[in-house]
Amino acid sequence: MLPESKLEEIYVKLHRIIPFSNVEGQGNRCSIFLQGCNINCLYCHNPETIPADDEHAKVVSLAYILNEIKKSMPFIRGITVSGGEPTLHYKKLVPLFIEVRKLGLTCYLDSNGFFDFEKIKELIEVTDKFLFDIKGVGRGLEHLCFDLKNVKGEESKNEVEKPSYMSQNIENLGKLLPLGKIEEVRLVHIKGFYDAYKTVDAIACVVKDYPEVLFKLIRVHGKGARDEAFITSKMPSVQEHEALAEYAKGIGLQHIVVIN
Amino acid sequence: MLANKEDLYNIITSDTLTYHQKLMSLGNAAERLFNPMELLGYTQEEWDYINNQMICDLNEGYAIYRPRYIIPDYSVYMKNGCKFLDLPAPKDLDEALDGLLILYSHVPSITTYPVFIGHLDMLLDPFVKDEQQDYIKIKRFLNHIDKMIPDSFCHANVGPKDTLAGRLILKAVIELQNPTPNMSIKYNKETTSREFAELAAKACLLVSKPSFANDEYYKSDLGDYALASCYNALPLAGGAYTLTRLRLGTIAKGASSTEDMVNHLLPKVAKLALSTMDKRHRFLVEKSNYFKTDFLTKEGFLKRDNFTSMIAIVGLADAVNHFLALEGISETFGSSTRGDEIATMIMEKLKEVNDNHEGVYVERTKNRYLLHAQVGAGLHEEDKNNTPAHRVKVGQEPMLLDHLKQSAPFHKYFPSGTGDLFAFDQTYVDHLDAVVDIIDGAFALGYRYITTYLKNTDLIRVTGYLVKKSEVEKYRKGEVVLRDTTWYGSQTDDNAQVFDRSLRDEANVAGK
Repeated sequence: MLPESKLEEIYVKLHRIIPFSNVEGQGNRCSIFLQGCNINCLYCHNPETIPADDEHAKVVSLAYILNEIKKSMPFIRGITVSGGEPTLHYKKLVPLFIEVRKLGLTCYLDSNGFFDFEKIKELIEVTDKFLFDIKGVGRGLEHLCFDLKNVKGEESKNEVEKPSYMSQNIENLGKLLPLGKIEEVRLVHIKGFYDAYKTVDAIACVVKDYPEVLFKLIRVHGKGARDEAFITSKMPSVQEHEALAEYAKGIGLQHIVVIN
Repeated sequence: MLANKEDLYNIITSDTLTYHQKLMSLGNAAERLFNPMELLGYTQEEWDYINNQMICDLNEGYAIYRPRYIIPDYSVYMKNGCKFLDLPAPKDLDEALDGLLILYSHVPSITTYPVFIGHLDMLLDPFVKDEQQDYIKIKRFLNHIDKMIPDSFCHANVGPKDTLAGRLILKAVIELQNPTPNMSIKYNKETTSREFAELAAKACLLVSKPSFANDEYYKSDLGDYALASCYNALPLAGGAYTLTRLRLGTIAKGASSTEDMVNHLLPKVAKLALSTMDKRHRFLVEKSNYFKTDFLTKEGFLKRDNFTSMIAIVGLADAVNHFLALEGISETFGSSTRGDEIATMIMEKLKEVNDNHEGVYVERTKNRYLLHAQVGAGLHEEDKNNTPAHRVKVGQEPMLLDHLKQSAPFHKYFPSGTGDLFAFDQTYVDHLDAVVDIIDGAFALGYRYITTYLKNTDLIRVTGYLVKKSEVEKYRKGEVVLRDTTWYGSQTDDNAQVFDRSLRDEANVAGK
């Protein structure tokens, strides 16, 4: 265990802290957004958190973050570390989570699931729950999420190399579920990049045995995205979205929240 | 304020009052035909400080013939029925609901309408047998109350235990969207189920009630108690004789410095207010014969020695802002460390003065009157300079987290009630768990009472009671409206812009 004084010496790049959040897992939570992501989703609503650096991000110590968390007490039941992709900071988060749990708070990660399970095992151990994104299945994701050179986030037909970790996230989901580490699985429903029904099939395949896990089906919207008009053109209709939710229920995903 | 014959004539010929509102106003004016220096023995100095608006008696009247707030123990009716009304103890839900409605029309108060109508879930739960049928009956009962008691100071309590009756009541309240009755849930994290708390939170967001009362805290201060009127916490089977306000914003303007306020003017005015209360109580108990004539006392719904009385404040924010300016500090109450210091000195002094005053006929509360954080009124120009209770002025509110922490330390001063309100955005309706977490946090920090509402609804909590914004608009156009509380709501919005409280949306909680 690292003493709190050690937290003074560990630094992370922080995008921002929201003292109260009602949408990052159960209850009222303090949300911590770290800078930097390993993927590049075209619809990302916080694209300024994607690069390793950003003019609004600041380097802070873990002690600073811990102090900010304490300010939100006793109104919160826990924290959620988001990003960017928080598991990029897997080593640094371990001592923070250990200290936060000592305060009686739960520690959540809001992750895209693209991480090396073995490598971040120590972090998983001190994480209470994951809010876990599934981006879709199939090669269309290469354009949707993995074109790291597409910094403007625009519609693009670039040749993208299939990254080795592209199917890593469903596998990771399969490993985390039996550990009781998943609170919700989320899918942003967008047209034209993946087969939504096949994606829901893949999710149901691993999630349906865990009825307590929430499946959040979110209809994409362009607000906040870099190429708002393009993303808006890929929005499913409400009917298409509801139909997908119905389908998900039909194949065993009972605990669904549909966000239009 | 004294009344005269011309006031009576103006009430009689008003073109905006209903018959009942005229009757009520005439009664109140009649009480103020008597000069309190002659009738009650007020000193010239006491009377002067009422007339200079530092002390406000809320125009309660001087020839007092009933206590301001009456908190009957309605379980007496459930057990014994009522001899005076020739009602046997109820045997089923129909009789219980019917009997309660009859009783309500015989419970007096300052407004002539009952300000407390019972721990409804506890009273009704033993009779609830058929969820569907009984829901219809309970809903009809609540709607009847809204139309029969056109005064949203009328207050029902639910909780702390989760019961079927309690759930049906909350469901009906959400569906009806009526201003009356006002409602509180006595909430205790340990004894209230999470589901019941979240249902109450949902109702609170959608229809601005019930508010959450810190049951453990109030019980430890008052023993058996109930929430009545706005959020007045008072002994059960008793109530409060009177409520006299100190307009701190007005008093501050008469002080030359913070030190002068805290050490001289404030204690002087507070003592004068307390001594007028003594005199009012004596008249009510010794001269009016209320406790000798009313069947509520004779049959045990009330006991004279369960009554207490409230010495209240308004305008803490205005007083503090005044002294911050005098001290050359360009900050405002709510976001000022020095401001909180000044506020604390004011409250500590008031507590000390009140603790040292031997009250009259208030044995139940150890012969002391209870401090109360009053929700404001629009009786005089000076009410514009007196923000409700210890609240931060609308427009000067800090972000939600800071606001909760700033206000919490002031709750301890007010055993007969205080409360803060927060307007939330729509997203919280889908995240009731987060709302209850915030309430739990507030109570852990010493909050007594908290309420939330959605800013965009028609039914809105003014300060401690509910009005329909649409009804206020009617009243402002000069139309006749059903509820007297609509007048007060309109005045309070004119004075304190309470319809424009800071919205706690994502940007506000994020502190952007």
